[in-house]
Amino acid sequence: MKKIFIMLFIIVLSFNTFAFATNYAGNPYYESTPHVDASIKVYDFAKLLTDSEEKALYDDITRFIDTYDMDMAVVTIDNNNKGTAMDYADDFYDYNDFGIGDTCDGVLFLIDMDTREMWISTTGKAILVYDDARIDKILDYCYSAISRQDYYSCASYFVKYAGDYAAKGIPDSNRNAYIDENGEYIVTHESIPMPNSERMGISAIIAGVFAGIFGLVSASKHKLIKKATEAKYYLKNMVITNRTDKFVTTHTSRTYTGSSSSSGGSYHGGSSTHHSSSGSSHGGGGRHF
Amino acid sequence: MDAVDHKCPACSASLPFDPTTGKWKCTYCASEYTLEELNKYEEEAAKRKEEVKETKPHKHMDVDEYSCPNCGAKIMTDENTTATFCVYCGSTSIIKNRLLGVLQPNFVIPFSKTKQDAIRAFEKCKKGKLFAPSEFTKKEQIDKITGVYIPFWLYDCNTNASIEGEATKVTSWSTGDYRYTKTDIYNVARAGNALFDKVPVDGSKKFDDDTMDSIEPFNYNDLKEFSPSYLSGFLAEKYDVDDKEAFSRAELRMKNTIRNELKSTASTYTTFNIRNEHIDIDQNKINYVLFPVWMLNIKYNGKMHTFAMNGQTGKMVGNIPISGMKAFLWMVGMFGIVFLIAYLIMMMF
Repeated sequence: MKKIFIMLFIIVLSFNTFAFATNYAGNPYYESTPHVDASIKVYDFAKLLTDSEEKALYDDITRFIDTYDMDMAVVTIDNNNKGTAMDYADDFYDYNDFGIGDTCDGVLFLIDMDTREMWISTTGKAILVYDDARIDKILDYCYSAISRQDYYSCASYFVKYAGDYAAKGIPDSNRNAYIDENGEYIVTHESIPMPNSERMGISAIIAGVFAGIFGLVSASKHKLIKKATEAKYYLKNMVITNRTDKFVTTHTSRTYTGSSSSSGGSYHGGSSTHHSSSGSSHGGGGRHF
Repeated sequence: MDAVDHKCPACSASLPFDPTTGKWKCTYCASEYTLEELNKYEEEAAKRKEEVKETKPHKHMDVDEYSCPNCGAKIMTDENTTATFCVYCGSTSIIKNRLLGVLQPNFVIPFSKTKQDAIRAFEKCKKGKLFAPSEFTKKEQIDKITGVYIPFWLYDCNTNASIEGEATKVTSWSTGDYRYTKTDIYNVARAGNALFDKVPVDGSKKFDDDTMDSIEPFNYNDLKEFSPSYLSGFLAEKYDVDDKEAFSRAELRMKNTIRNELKSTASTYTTFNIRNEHIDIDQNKINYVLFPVWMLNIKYNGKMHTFAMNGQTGKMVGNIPISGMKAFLWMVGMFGIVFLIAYLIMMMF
């Protein structure tokens, strides 16, 4: 009995592996993608990180995955056989077993030393969380480190700020967007209908303010008598005899606003998406260094 | 300061002290004065100046005076005109007296608007007042509209003023994630002098001061030397606020004006707070005048509402009473309409 179970288990397992393999068998994109253990999370093919740095990143990434229910991986390469950083990042994510849930939610950060580009690839729910503006902001931080060849800081900035934004949830720019069962990013243009009580309340406030202003304006028209406090009409020959302006001192104060983006752009369009070679939908963005 | 800066009594040139003679010697006309002589001349000059200032009315006239036992108003007119009711309270039991030796005004601006003009202006002024009670204006009340000459004091004044205070210039800009605010602080002083020509203050206790302020200005080109014949067909009020008492209102207005004028020369600053100010007002001339006013008193809900029209320019003023009921109904109606429209618009989304 026990043997049958083990046999069945092996059959099911191998069938699964077989199925996974046969789906993409002969697919040149699948063949050209390295196959890795998806639980390692940090893949330093370009040898940019020390072992202890990899360990530190791995610990942070594990914490991110546990907290936000999205997958995360960091990849470095020095030879890109797919041409662009975007294609490599998307394929690496798709043809390995990354992603959480039916829509394979997760985010991958690639440092491509071959094309000298960083790329953030988002999938599933991560497309909603990381709109174009947030990706741009994260790349700002990463760029500040990679421009001084500090690859560990670059990767750890990615993990840190990706976490910060995940904690803030889905941004306003994506409030009308959702991910369908195929992982497609879809923006709806219908807003949620307002409840009737809210409509009545808002109407009553508008009407109240309007009636109040109307009442005040109408009542003020009844009053034509005003005390005179000035006599400018009777002023003749004003002569200025002294005009002194002495500078005393100056002081400057500074307040943090934090609203301006260093890239200067503002985004309203939510997330940009594209389809990768496997047909799945990804968001993301990159920057050359 | 005067003691140092003497002027030659003969030619008005400045008079320096000559140490060799111990006297003041004019460099222009060579006249010489001792200190005693100078003081005497200067005292006389000051006395003359004082006399110029005192151009108070000095002519007198005889008039018919009607006094109202009900409200205490005192109205005068010439012997050819008969008053039948008190212009203030409408009482018909007014007592006529012959009054001799009444102070005569210096000037008068005659009426140029008729009673019909005044009634039309009043009707126009009621228009568009949504909350006006409908029973407010009865025809027989409007017919009581009366032309009255109201006494005014006109003050010609020289003013000298200086102000001093702290002014700031604030500029701000943004760099990166920070907003910078720079405040420059200055010590600002201004001084100036100004001439005010015929600032009017009404000399009537019965007539509401603010109402009289509101029908200003009068055009002084029409000022005529007073003659009692102008009173014919009109009533006039005798002043019961003298020129000294009335002056405080003129003074306040002139002070505000000159302060604002000086302040306006520092308008490039973001803020300007006056710490010290000094304003001197010298009366040059005071005139007692009569200005033409069409007046209508309407009693509504036990309260007297005064309407007045400038009898020269036609400017009509007065506070039209508000009917609480009308105001309430209008506002409820407005609330309902706006509520419906807002609700329907929101249904569309």
